Amino acid sequence: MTEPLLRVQGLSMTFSRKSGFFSRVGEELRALNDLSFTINAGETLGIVGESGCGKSTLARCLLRLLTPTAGQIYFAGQDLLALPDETMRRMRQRMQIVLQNPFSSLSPRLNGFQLIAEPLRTHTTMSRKEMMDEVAALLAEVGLPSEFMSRHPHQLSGGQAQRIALARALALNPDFVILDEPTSALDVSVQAQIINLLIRLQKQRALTYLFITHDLGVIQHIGDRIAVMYLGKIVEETSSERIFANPQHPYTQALLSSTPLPDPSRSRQRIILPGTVPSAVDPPSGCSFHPRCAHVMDQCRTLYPAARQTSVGHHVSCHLYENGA
Amino acid sequence: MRARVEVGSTLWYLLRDRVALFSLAFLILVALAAVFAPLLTPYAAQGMGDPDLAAKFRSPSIEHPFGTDGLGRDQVARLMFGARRSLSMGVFVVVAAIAIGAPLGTIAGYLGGWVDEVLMRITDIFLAFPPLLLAIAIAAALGASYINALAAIAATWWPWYARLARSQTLSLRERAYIEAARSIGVRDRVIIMRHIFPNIMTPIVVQGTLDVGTAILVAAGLSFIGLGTQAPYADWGVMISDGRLFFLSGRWWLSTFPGLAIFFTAMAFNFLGDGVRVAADPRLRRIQS
Amino acid sequence: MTLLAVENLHVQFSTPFGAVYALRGIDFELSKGEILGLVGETGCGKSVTGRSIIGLLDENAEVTQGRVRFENADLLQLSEADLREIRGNRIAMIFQDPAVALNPLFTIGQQIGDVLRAHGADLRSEQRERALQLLNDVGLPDPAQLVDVYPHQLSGGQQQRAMIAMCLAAEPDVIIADEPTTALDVTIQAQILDLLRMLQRDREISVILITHDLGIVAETCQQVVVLYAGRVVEKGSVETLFAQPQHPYTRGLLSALPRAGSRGRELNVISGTVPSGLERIKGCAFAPRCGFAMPRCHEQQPAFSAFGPKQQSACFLHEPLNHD
Repeated sequence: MTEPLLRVQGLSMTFSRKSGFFSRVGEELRALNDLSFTINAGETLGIVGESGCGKSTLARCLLRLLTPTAGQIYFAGQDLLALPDETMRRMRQRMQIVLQNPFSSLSPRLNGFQLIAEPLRTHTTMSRKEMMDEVAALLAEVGLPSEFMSRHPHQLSGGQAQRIALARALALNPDFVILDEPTSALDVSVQAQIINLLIRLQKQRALTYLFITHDLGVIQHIGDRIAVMYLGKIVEETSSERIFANPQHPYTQALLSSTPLPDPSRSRQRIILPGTVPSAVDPPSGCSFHPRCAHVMDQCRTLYPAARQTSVGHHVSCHLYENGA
Repeated sequence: MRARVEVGSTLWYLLRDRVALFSLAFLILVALAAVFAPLLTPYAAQGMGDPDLAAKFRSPSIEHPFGTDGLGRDQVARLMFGARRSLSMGVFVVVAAIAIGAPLGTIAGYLGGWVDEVLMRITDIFLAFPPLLLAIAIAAALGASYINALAAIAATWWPWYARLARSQTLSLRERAYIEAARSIGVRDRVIIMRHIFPNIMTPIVVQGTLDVGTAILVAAGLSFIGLGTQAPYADWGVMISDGRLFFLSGRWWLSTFPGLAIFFTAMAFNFLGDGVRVAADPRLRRIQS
Repeated sequence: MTLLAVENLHVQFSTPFGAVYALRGIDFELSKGEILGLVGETGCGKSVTGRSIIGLLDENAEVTQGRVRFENADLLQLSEADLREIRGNRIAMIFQDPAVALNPLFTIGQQIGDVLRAHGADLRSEQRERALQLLNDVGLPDPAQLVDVYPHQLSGGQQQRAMIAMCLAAEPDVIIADEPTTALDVTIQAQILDLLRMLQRDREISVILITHDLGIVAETCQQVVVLYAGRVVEKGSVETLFAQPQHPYTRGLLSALPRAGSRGRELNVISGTVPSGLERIKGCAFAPRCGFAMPRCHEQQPAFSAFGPKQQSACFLHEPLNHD
């Protein structure tokens, strides 16, 4: 088996914050707690979870915009966390991110050309003429005519702006793109355009995606494998088909059941979870999901369940599956 | 949709604000009068300080609308030549203060950590003194002159811009497009120049416009106590100072007209600054698009 | 029984770029005890519709035509004083962001108490008891403690529940909920939608649920009104409309949603973008993006055609049907 493009081992990120000027003990927020996963070249891993589960922190740690407190990130065989700053800066050519809201991720004062050319200017020595050609080609690739070079973000619709953001991310011909809720700010009809575009670009450029979302409908369409996160941990991970056909973790089940589907004829038993996601500053003991879980057992309150494989390629962290799985 | 600042629409709103527009027109007139003073008055020599003892202490008349002073100098001419110093002082003080404060504040805000600590503690030291008192002390130490007064006032003013730039930078630093730039590997220097600086300039320019009026006042204050412009030249503060001895003896015009000039100019800068602030901030316009 | 009817509502905004035609003729009826979904994409006018009903439009907005019938009155003709009487008492509104809608300086109990006082509960003790009851009704855990906390001490879902409790204090007949769950997580959204359904079932409150999410409409509402560029394109009961969408826009929207089984296929897209509100639109607003557009679609506005007793769609494609 070949080495995966990205291999994450035991990744943890703890934010500490002094609770007062004179106090020495601070609060600790465990945003990521011992995550491990891999992504193979050319595949799409979906990360699903609600706010506060750590999915955006994960994206920032992978790009080393944040420095994780523990763990290793191997990208194309190299340990990113061990790279010197300047090497890392150059490594960023190969890994890019597209953020949720293009209007906040595109600098409002730059026009389309400046935005898309910025990565080229940063990492290459192209002449302006070469850049113009390159930007025009990138625009065409994301389905925009070259007039968009002179438009500023506020002159764009949400879908057009997200296409510009995508062109910018592709400018340096990366291998790996993190998509952090790239369609959440868009209307349904535009979302469909962007999703089709993402899939087409992936095929043409052999891209590897990490697709972060809270929308299960979107991820089941585009994801190959899906990891469900809850409070800084991956609670379940398996193929896209299987997670929808046979969700095993009680949280995954509740998440699927809570997602509204446009089909009024579908009768189903809704699982409505009580309460809210606990604070990561003071997470519950044992399995962090236990206060909201309908199947809670004694051991859930004290012991975090280890991830175990319930069938080939299906990993669940839940005490329910410990015997006879 | 989103709060976005755009030069075109800012101007559109500004030109629909009558008070701001009127203030702007007034300031342009004052500035033109200052620049073209030699062409606009027959008493250019007196405006520059030459005495004309034959005409001393004339009260306002057709020939001398604002009267003449104890050396027979036409007060209209003096005011126009004085405007050169008063206006330029106000503008230069603010420009100098922004030139020092804005980059320091931006660097402190962007880099954070010990750089931020050190720079902000230095501004705290400056801010701990009453600004006028500090300016007087610095001007007195440097010696009385126009340029030293300018330096003294700017020295007390830059920390405010440093603070403003820092707080703006702190909020910008968290914006997604700054993070996006970092994630494609853009260097910090380029991020500050291309992404942060242009975006913090709007609030700084607004504050600067508001401050020009105050700076003219402070400069007049220094001149009033003799630490600013030196004879034979005049600015408005010097004129008030020179005239004050004669005010009660009936020669009211000597201090009154420069006083009004300062008053209206400072107020015009305030109205203009306020207009720019409202026009540049989509949330204050209350019109959705 | 029709409780509230919006008839031919036109609203425009004056902006530096000219008049924006936000609503260009909205018609729908809300019956007692039903949840009606107003659904559409950004800029379709769904929020403006909700706000016009209770007179909460911005200063630069103007209702140029139309009526909002509620009981025997036209809400658009009422004086500000009469409207205030209806707003809150009879028709209440909840917003997308409860953190903004709640006053940060007063406790939840005080804010509910204020509403109760306006409704004749003068005694402190009585107010407190009712407030506790209401907080319990909206499913907040431990009301005795929450009644004394400030809004920022609650989570987003709890704030939205507190907001709903405040609305209920006035015992309204209609609640207008403007994207009440958009800021919330999926599992919390499910809780709030469940609460709305419960209020409708147990208290016969009518709800206008403004949302962009067709899934929410399908699972929560009985009636649905689909808006496009300030007009109603299709409306009807949720069962028939989702089973047999008639308008090309509704069909396009539903088929653009990724769902089980769509994997590996290209999603259906609606090409082009929503027209700007600055344009004066002569014909059907959807015509420029419609795959079935005929010359007359660009010239004339189509009228509603009925599909059974429960569904109407405004499209010229339906016209031959009417002649049978």
